[in-house]
Amino acid sequence: MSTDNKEEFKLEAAFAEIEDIINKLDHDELPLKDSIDLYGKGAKLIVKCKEELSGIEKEMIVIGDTLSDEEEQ
Amino acid sequence: MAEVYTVSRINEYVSNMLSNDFFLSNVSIKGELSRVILHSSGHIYFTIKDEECSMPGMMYASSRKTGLDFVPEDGQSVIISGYVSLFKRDGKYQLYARKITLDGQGILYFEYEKLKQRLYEEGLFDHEHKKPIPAFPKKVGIVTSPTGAAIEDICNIAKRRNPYVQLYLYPAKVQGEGAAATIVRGIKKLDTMGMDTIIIGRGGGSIEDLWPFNEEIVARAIYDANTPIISGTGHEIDNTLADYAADLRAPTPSAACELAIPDIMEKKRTLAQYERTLKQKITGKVNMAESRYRLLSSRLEAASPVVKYNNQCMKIKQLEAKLNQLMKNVYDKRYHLYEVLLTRLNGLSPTARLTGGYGYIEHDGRPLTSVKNVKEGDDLSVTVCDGTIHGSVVRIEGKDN
Repeated sequence: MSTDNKEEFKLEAAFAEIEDIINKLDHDELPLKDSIDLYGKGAKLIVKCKEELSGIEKEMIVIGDTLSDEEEQ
Repeated sequence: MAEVYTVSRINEYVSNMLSNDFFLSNVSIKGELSRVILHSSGHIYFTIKDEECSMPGMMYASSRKTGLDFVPEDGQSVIISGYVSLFKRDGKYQLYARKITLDGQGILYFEYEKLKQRLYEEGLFDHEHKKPIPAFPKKVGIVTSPTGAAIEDICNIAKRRNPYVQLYLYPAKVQGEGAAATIVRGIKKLDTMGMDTIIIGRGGGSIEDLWPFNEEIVARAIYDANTPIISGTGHEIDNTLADYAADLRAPTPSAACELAIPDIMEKKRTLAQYERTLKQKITGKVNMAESRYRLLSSRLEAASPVVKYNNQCMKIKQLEAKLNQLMKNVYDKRYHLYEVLLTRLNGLSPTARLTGGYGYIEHDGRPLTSVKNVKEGDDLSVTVCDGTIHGSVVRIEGKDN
């Protein structure tokens, strides 16, 4: 298992957290200061998620030294 | 040069040879059934095999009534009586069955069951041992044939769902001699390469095609790996020991790929939706606060001392103006009255009466009222309506004298 798995698990958690923030923002009685703090937090999470969800298209790497021609027959 | 024959002639010749062979005209063969097809015509097609060899066979629908008392299935160990002949069209010899009887359980199947039981008891398939599959893998290893449809499907699905995942293929042999060993090597190799998930699998096939995935070394390699492994071997009905040992089992290699790699495009869409919603919410909140602020600030402004002071000043000015106006009115009225009185006074003035010969006589600044108050030579002044005449007393005549 790669070591940055924890990082990846955060994406799921981040999605949950963003949803939580949106739900909290739905409450009218939430003070504006808190709303803005929550929004800032959500915006940061979204940026992080975007980074996580973007990247460079990768070509498949075939690992060598495996099959001899005879084996592949 | 030898004579040249048509294919039909040769097949005809071989067919006759086989048909005339006494031994082949009535044989009983022991083996395991596979690739059994129960054709809609009623004929049954199958392959019979042992560990090393196989041969095709069939049973005509007409023979079923007398020669078959069970439903033939892949993996059954059977004894088939019949004759060997040539299927002329394809130049293929095959066994024509007159009678098929069960010979206990198929050996392969029996071994499979035995091994499955043993590994199960050992805990290789235990649920507690199953590792969770990472939700967002970056590196996914694949152990399968480099040439099959399976790897092509996996590549296509991976590219569609998340092109940013790095795929690593360990090209393995997935059927035949030595296949299990290459699968094991692939699992072990990828396990050391820091994969997030490993997919092992192959497309569907007969039970002997899938056999490498039923071998103990493969099941153990899966169990021993530190990387979560998803198996996708064959089609839904085929459960291999690899499937049981894997952390997650998929019916096909394509399904395994779908389980390994989440659809990132879906996530991206969700994220964009989150972003819009979040912006909407905060904009709404800020707008609400702003309009509230405007309302309150205008109310506060209305209550401010400056406004109060200005109002008072204005009031004072108004009062002042009113006062001035009133004063002016009073004054004007009085002045008018004065003028009226003055006119009337003018009418009553003594000098106004000094017309027609009347005059006002003074002596020493006092009105002269009697002859006794003057003597001859005293100064007198006579005021008439348009001036004063100064004179002196020349003679005095009293009334009595």
